Amino acid sequence: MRKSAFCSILRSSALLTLVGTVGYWLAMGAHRGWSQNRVPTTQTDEVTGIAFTTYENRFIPGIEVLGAGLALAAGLFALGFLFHSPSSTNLKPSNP
Amino acid sequence: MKTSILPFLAAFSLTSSLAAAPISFDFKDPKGVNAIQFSLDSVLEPIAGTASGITGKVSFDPANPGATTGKIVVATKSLVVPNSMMNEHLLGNNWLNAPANPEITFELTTLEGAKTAKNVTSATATGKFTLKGVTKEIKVPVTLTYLADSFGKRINKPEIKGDLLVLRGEFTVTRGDYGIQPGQNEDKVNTEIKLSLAVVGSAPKA
Repeated sequence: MRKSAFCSILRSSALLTLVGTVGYWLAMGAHRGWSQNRVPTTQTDEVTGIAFTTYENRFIPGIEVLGAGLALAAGLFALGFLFHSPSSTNLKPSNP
Repeated sequence: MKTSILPFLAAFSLTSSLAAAPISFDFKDPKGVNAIQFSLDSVLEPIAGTASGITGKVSFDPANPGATTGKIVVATKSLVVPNSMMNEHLLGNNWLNAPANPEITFELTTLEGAKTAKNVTSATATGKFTLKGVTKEIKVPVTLTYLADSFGKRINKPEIKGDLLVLRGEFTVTRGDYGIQPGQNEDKVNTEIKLSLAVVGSAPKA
């Protein structure tokens, strides 16, 4: 495989990772705290008026998931530079 | 005959109610609602959660709220925060060490300055608070709400008689005072733990 093709694959992967991670994080509620494995909801006991918390077992990605995704995307993009080949116009020999 | 016995019965009933014994309220809630909420400021967001494993008994006399005594026990392993990894850390050796310290307790010794309006008593509870095996005397502003004949209604069985006692209070403790990472990670996790209590005790009548 040519270097430039591999570079394109890496950059496309970086873009997909970036869009996928941000999209997933936004779709799951854009939680700006740490990830949650159980989501608290508050209810009220009618007779006593006590507000109590119940937990629903559901995953909400937090800021560290977003950070890891962005770091992976940046890493893939940077890796693309290793396989970057100079543009074809620069490879042409100059006319004598 | 009837007219002569009625005043006697009325007087007997009044005397009985005035001399009523304190009621023992069980705080193991049949509906599983009881919990203590806790919160510590931390990097990014507060570490907030609940502890639902509440048991204990409180002796409360509606005619003399100031004489209230009792003990509330929280099962350490019942502490829950939304992030499971944080939960493991919280119950682990470095923080609460739940296997070695299975209970967090508050034993009420005196109730000072009790003021009652209708069925709500406000007071300052002085008692022994035990966390991670360390016991210290603390004062907590509390309210006690006495709900007579509400037990059956609450469990959807109105035919069952009984009373409820709702205990509410908020206080703050310093984690280092109880051997929880004293002097450590103070830049990441605040030293103060805010605790909020809203629990109900039941006294069903046989």
